[in-house]
Amino acid sequence: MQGLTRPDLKQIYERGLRDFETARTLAELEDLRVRYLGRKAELTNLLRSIPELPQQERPEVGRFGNLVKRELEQALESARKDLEQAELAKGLEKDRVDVTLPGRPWPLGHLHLIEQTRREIEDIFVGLGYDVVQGPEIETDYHNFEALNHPEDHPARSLHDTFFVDETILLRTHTSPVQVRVMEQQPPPLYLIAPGKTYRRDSDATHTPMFHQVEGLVVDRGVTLADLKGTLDTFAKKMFGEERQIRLRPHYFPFTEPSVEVDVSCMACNGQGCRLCKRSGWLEILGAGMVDPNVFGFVGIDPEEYSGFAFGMGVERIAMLKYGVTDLRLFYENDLRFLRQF
Amino acid sequence: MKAPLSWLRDYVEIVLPPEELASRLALTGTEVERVEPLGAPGDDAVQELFVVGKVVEREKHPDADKLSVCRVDVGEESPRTIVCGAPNVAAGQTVAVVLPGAVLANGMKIGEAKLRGVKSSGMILSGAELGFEAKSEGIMVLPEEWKAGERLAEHLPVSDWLLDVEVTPNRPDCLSIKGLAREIAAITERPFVEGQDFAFPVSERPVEEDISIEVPASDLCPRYAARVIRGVTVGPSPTWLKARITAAGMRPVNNVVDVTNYVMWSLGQPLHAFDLASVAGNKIIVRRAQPGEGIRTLDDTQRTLTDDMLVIADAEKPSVIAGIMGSIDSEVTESTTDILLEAANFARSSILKTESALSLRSESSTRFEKGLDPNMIPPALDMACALLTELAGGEVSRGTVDIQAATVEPWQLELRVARVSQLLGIEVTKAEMADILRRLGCQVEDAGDRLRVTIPTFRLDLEREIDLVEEVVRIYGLERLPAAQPCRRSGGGGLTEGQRKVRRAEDLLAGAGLTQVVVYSFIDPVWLTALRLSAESPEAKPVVIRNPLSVEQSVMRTMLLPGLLAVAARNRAMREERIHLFEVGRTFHPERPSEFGGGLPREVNGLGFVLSGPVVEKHWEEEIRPSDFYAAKGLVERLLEGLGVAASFGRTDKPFLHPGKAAHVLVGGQEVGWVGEVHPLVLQAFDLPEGVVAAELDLDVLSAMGRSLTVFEDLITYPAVEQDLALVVDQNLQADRVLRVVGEAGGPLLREARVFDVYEGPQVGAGRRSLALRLTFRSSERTLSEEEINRLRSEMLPVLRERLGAELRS
Repeated sequence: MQGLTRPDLKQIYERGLRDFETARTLAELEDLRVRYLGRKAELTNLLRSIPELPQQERPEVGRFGNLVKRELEQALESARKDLEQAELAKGLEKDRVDVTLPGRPWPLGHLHLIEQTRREIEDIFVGLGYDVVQGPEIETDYHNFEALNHPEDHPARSLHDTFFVDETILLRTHTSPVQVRVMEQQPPPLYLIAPGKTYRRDSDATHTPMFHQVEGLVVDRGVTLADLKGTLDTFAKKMFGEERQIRLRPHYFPFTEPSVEVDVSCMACNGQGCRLCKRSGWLEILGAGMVDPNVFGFVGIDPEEYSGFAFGMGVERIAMLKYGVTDLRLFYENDLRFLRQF
Repeated sequence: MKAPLSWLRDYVEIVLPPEELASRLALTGTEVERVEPLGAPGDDAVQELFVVGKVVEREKHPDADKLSVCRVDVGEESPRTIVCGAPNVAAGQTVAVVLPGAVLANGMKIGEAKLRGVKSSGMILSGAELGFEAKSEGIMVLPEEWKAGERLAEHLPVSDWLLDVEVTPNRPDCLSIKGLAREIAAITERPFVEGQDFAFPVSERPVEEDISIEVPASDLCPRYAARVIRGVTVGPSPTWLKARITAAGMRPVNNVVDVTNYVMWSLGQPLHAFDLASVAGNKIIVRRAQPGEGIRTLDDTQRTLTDDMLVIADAEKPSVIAGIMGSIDSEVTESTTDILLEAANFARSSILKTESALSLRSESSTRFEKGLDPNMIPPALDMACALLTELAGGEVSRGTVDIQAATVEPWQLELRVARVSQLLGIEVTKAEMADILRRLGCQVEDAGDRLRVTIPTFRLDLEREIDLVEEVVRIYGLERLPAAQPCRRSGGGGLTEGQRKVRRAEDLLAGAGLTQVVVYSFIDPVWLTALRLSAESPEAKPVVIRNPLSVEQSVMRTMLLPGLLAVAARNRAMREERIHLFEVGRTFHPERPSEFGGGLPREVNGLGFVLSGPVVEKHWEEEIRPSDFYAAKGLVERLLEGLGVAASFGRTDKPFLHPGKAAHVLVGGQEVGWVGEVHPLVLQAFDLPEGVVAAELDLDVLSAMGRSLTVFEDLITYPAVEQDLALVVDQNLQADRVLRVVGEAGGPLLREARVFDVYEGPQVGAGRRSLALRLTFRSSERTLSEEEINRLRSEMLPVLRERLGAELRS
C-alpha cells in the first residue's frame, strides 16, 4: 500500500489481512468480516466520518480508506473460498463407501451358445459374399431325399433315421433340402448358406434328436473342388484360428460327387495328437463335395454350363470343438449354469 | 468291417506299417475306425517263441490230479518238460507251444516256472490263449503234418493287426477281404492276387435230382443259385478257420456255418446253408410271403411277414427271410448230412424295406441292402464247396441250379480328359488317370481327348463320368489340390433386413437380462392340455410325428410358451431364483398353408419369453422389483421400440393367461402376440409358483413391418415443452382411452402424452382414480411460448370433461 501514512488505516489494513488469512472456520471469518467491514467497524466509521475530518486529511483518507476496504473485501472473499473448499474436502473425506462392494445389478443376459456359434459361421460367410437363406423344417420327402439323389431304394436313406409326419412329409434330416429349394427358385450364380434346425430319430450321449446344421451352396461357372478346399480353409482359419490347417478325405454323400469329409488340425494339441483328436492330430468338422449332376438335373441347371459345391456342418459340433464343451446334451438341457458361461 | 492284415495278405502284399496303411486308406476314402494289435503282442523275435511241438510222453503229475507232465519235442536236441492242465492233452499230439520270454494276447508272461515241484519250461496253448476263440475246452490239437520246431506263425496268425474299417454305402465291394485288398493294392501300387481256382470232389448225381427251385418273385431276386453237398460231417472248425472267424468279430459255430461266414467275409457274397433234410418236398420257392405268414428266426424271435417281403420257402413254409435271416428250424445241426448251399442276389430296395419293417439286420442283409454284383455268385459257391468238402467231407452233386432273370456284363464309360481339370481345378495327365483307373480294376483305352473305360461288374457304383472323376481324384490325392476360391462375377451377399432385425430382437432381450434357450421343437401333447386350450383351438391341433422317440416328444409345438415354462421349472428345481428366459424359434401350424406349398404346415418364427423372480438380482440398496405384468409389458414395449414398431395393447382372453392380466399386442390393427401373467392352473401343471409372466410375438410379422429407415427430424432448433396434467376419472376407464382423447384434444402440437403416475384413494374419492400425464408440446416452426401452451392446455379441459368425465385434480 504505497504512500499510506496514516497509522490507523495502515494498522487496520495489515491486521485485517493477517486475521483473514489465519481464520480457521467460516464462522470465525464471519466475525472478522463484522469486525473489519461491518457497519460498526473502525474502517466503516472512519469512511463515514470523512466529511468531518480536516480538509487536508480528507483526500488521503478517502483514497486510501476505500482502497483498504476493497483489498480487505478481496482478501475476505479469497479466505472464504479457501475455507469453503477445505470444508467441502473435509465433508467428502468423511463421505466414503466401500468401493470393493458390488455395484447395483444391471441385468445382463446371454445368447445361447448355438446362436452365438451360428452367428459366427454366418458372419464368416457373409464376409465372403454369401447370402443367408432359410427353408422349412418340416419338409417333403422329395426335397429332403429324392431331389438330393436319394431314390427310395437308396442305401444312404438308412443312414438317416427319419421322423415322419406322413408318407411324404417328414422332419428334415439335414439342411440340404434348402439347396434344392433355392436352385428351384433362383438361377445361378448362387452363393449362400442355410442355417437351421434338423431332426434325426436318434438319442444317446452323442446324438440329440434335434440339432443344428449350416448348409453351404455355391453354383457358378467354373467352380472347382479346389475352390471348395480354399473356401473351407478360409472358414476353418477364421473360425478356429489362423494357424489351423484343413485336410480333405474322400467320402460318400448321394448329392455330391466327388464327396469329401473335412478335418481341421486339432486346436487342443496343434495337430500333434492328443485325447481330443484321438491322437490323430485331426478333427472332423464337416462334409462337402461338388454338387452331383443328378441334383442339377432335378432343378434344371445344366451341369455342363455350371458347376458348384456344397457343404454341411453341425453347429453343435463346431461349438463343442471351439468352446471345449464335452457333452452335446448340455445344449438342450438349458441349465442356466451352463448358458450363463457364454 | 473287421479285416486282419494276415487275411488281406491272401490277396495283396502289404508293405506299409499298419498305422500308415490305415491313414492311407482314410485319405483315399476308406475310413479306418481302429487299428489294433491282435494276438500276442511284440515283434518278429517274439513270434519265434511260438512253435509247433509234438507231445512225446505224458504222465500224471505226481502231486496234482489235474496236471500232466509232458515231454514235448520242439525241434531242439532233447524234448522239454512242460506241465499242462488241459484234460485233453495226450502223447502223440501235435500242439502249439510257447517258450519262456513270450507274452500272450491276454497279457500273461511266460517264464520258467515250477508247478507243484515240477519245473515247466514253456506252455501248451489253447485256442483262447492265442485269441482264436473266446473260450477253449482244452489245448489246441494241430494237424499232424506240421513239424516240431516250426514257427507257429507259418500256419496261424500268432500276432496280427486288425483294421476296423467303415465302408461307405456306395462301396459294398469293400465289405469283403478281397475287395479291401483290391483297394489296398490300388492305393499302395502293389499287384492284386486274384486267388486260386477251387477244386472239389463232384459226384455223378445231378443236382436236379436233389432239389428243384422256382423263382416266381424274380423281380426281387435277379439271380438264385444253389448247390448240394451230400455226406458231410458237421463238427468244429479247424483252428485256422476259428481264428479268422473270431478275428472278424463273429463266433465260430460249426464247420458248415463257419465256411458260409468265411466265404461271405472273404468275397462279400452272403451264403445260406440249409439242412437238405428239412427242405420239405425238396423244393425251394423264392416268393413273396403270404400275408400273416410267420417265421421264427435264428435269434429266436417269432416274426409276422407281409406280402411285400421276399422269402425262401420250401414246399410248405418259409424257411428264410430272403437275404436277412434264416429260420431256427432249417438250421444246420450236428446231425445234418446233406446241405443245400444258396448263393443269391436280391433287390436292395426289398431288403431295405423288410429290414426296416422288421427292425432286423444281419451281416448278410447289410451287404444285400447296398446292392451286390451277381457275378460274385459262382466263385463264392466254388470257394464254399471246396472248403466244405475239405473240412466236412462229402461230395458235391453235379451242376449248379442257377436261375437268372438278367445278366450283368461289364459296361463302358467315357471320361473326357478336360472335364477332370475343369471340375477339380488341377491338371491331371491322361496317363495318370488311365493308370489310376487300371489299378482299380478297370480296362482303359485311349480315345484321344477322352478315355474309354470298361467297368468291372463288382463296381456297380461307377455309372457315370462323374463317378470316374471321383475315382481319379481320390486316388490321385486330395492333398495335392491347391486351395483356391470361387471367382464371383456379379452380385453380393449379406444378411437381409429381416435377419438383422431378428438378431436385434435377440440382442435387445439379452441386453435386458434375459438368457436365450433352445428347446426341442417336439413336445408332449399333455403340455397343450396343460395350457387349458380348448380342443377346437388351432393351437391344440399340432403336427403329429408318426414315429416319435417317445410320447413326450411326439407333437410339433404350436406355441413357444410350454417349452419355456418347462425350462423355467427345471431351472427352478436347480434353485435358480431369477429366471428370465427367451427363445427364438419356429412353431408349426397345420391348419395354415405354408408359403412353401406342398401340403406343408405353416412355420412361424416366434419370439417368446418368461420371467420369474425379481427383475434384478438382490442388492442391499435396491428394492426387490417383482417380475409382474408391467415388467413383462415394459419389456415388450422396449423390444418393439427397439425394432421401430408402434404397437397398442388391449385386454384379451387367453385360456393360459390370468384373465385380468393379459393383453394382446396389436401392430397396425393386426394381432402379433400377447403378454400377460400365466394362469395359476397352468403354472401348477408345470410345477411353477404363481406370478410368472410371459409373452409371445410373431417375429415374421414384426421383422417385416418394423421401421427400416429412420429419417432425421430436427428436435433441437425448436425445443419441446413439457407440462404435467393430473386427471381424475372413473376407476374403470382404461388409460389408453384417456390418452387417445387427450391426443385428439391436444391437437397437432401435442406430440406425446404419457402416464407417469396413478393414484387411487381418499383424495380423489371412491370409484375414481387420478392419472398424472406428462404432455409434450412441440412445433417444428417456432419455439412455443408459455402462454400458447397454457392456452392449449386450458382448451383441452372442457373436451376431457365432456368426453371422459375427467376433472382436473386440485
